[in-house]
Amino acid sequence: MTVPSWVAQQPSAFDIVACYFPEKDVTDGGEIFKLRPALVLKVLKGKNTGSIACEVAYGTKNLKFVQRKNRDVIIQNAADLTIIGLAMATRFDLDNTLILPWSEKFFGCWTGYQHPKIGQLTEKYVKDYAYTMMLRQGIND
Amino acid sequence: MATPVQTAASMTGRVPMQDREFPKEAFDYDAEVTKEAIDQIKEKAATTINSEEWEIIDGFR
Repeated sequence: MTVPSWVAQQPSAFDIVACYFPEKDVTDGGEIFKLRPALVLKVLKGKNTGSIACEVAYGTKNLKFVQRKNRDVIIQNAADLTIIGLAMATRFDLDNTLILPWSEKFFGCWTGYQHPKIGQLTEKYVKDYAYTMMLRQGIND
Repeated sequence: MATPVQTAASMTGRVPMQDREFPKEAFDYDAEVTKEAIDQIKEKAATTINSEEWEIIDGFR
């Protein structure tokens, strides 16, 4: 299998990328992997091979704003969504982050896109994220 | 010389969301982000991730 050219272009922290996530297949009740937005929290490099991995937080349409406003990154302002490149209001779940190898097995391109990158968090939301992590640290200590 | 067309974008400095076209994938996902689903993906990634020592090159430490 040919490695797509985008693999050579690593993402940056706070990029929004398209990641595969398991979904129920409505046609046969089985499971399929579909692309959904994910927030890149950290980019990591392998000390031996130099390969790239990312810590990501998956996005969900289920905002749960009241319960999750100081726990997750929630983007719902229409102007912000446009700037960031998201089609819908999205909550990035910081409870369930994970590290994924930067490869076509875990990331993919939306139709018409040449790279899994969909957009980028604005400075305001990066600050919100930093504040949220500080609150989380306080809660977990 | 032709007069530039004034669009909502040029007047406000931003493109209204309804003018932007997103592919089907941008909307076509529904599953809740659960620990079970995350564990499933973690298992798929484990061989690669656990076989390396990683250092952060971008993002908060």
